[in-house]
Amino acid sequence: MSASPFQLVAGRSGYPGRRVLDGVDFEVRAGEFVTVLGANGSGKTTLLRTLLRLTHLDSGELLLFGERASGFRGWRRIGYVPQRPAAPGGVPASVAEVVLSGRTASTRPWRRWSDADRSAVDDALSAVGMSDHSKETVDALSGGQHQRVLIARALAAAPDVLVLDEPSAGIDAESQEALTSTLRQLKAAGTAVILVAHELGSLAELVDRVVVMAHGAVAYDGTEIPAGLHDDTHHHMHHRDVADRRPWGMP
Amino acid sequence: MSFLEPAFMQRALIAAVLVGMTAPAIGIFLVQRRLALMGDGIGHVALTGVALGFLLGTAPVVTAVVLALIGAVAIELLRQRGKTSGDVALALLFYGGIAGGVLLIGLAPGASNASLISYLFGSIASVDRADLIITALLCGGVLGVVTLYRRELFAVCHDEEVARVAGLPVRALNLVIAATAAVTVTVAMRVVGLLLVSALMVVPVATAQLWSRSFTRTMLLSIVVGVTVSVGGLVTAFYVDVAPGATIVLCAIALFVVSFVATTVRSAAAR
Repeated sequence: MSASPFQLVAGRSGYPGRRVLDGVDFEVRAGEFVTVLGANGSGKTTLLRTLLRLTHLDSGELLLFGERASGFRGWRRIGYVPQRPAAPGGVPASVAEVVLSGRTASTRPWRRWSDADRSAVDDALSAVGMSDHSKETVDALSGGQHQRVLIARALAAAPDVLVLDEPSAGIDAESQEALTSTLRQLKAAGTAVILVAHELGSLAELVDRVVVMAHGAVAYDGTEIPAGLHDDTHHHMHHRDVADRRPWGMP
Repeated sequence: MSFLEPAFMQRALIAAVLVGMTAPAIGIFLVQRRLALMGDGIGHVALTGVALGFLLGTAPVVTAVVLALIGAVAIELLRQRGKTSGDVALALLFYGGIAGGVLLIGLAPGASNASLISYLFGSIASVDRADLIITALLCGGVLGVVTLYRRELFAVCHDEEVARVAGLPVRALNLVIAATAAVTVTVAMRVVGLLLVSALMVVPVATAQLWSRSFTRTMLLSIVVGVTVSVGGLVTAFYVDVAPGATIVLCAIALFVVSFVATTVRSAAAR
């Protein structure tokens, strides 16, 4: 059994003057598909940023693939898809260039892009159904298409775990379908997935484990999607209810 | 008389080509990160360096490089720490740099504000052999760094957090950008002057991106534009007998305006 991609023990973290996570235990095992649900402000994005070391861990222990995070070198094994594309820069970038940039860390500065790099880009673009758009500039794409390009960029490095922050927020139906089919294939290939989301929709069938965050702590950790969270059209409001009432109790 | 005959014009043309290539090659990363005014901030600090050179009796270019490097790294560190926003950090450098320059030049024996003018607005016609060698070495260094690390720099400028998660040395790469920008500013100071340096780093990139859909193409095209306007402006200034630095910058802006109109008409026609 290979080591868990992420293991956080008693993690506390946040921002200057504001503690967000307060003693969180969280683990994602190899090949596992975990979704993190919760209301705005519940700490789910901070949890994800803490796992990726984008937010400082004030106390507790973080292991990445079994190694202490501070000395971890295997970042290539982690693919990160941010919630929103970075603000458009002042310079155009093509879809192929953005996806290729996902392989930057696994190449050497003096090397040219190899055939392996280019075929990894082709595979990643076809996995998200964006092969026909490789020469377009990313700023001209729709939100959903841009999101798929960011997923392709993460996939280009062939990660062992994919971390997605609200990938289905505000995307069109075609992109939602593409997202579901991409993640289904990844799961079948044994890639672990962490999905932070407001609502799951068609992704619910893929989920192995559900973690619900509330007030900076884990409110639920189990295999069932708690009632009231599934296919909830008023998810914002409902999540707040859920967080406040904690209807499932603590495990 | 042909513009190629005088020895000073031959040296000036070589300097113009070198700076015309180098300024947009690093400027593109500043534009991509929306730090287009960083070159200006560094330029203002370099002015303090020039004045310090007069005061200490050393070559102003050397003290300008040192101060520009310190200023650029300071902007970057302030930005990384998140203690102050990028534009406030830049504002501090703008005013501090000019004030420091004017203060120090007043203390330097035999120098006055007039001594700063050639650095503020450029003096490409007075480039001598030694200047040319230094210019070539520094431009070569900057172009070498940009060529070697273009993919890493692209990744960091395009999406800093994703680059960090991917394990790229983001801090070091940001400092590389700051340092190469500082060196470029000091080199370009001879050609267009500290107050106009940033124009050569930014305007060719702004022009090239109108015609391009990819980063690589924008970069190559901006270098072509940079060389074209530098040489074109210099030659124009030679025949019309006007200030070369200002002519180069106005050529760059003119080319941008023409490109803007042409691409706007083209996309309107395509609709």
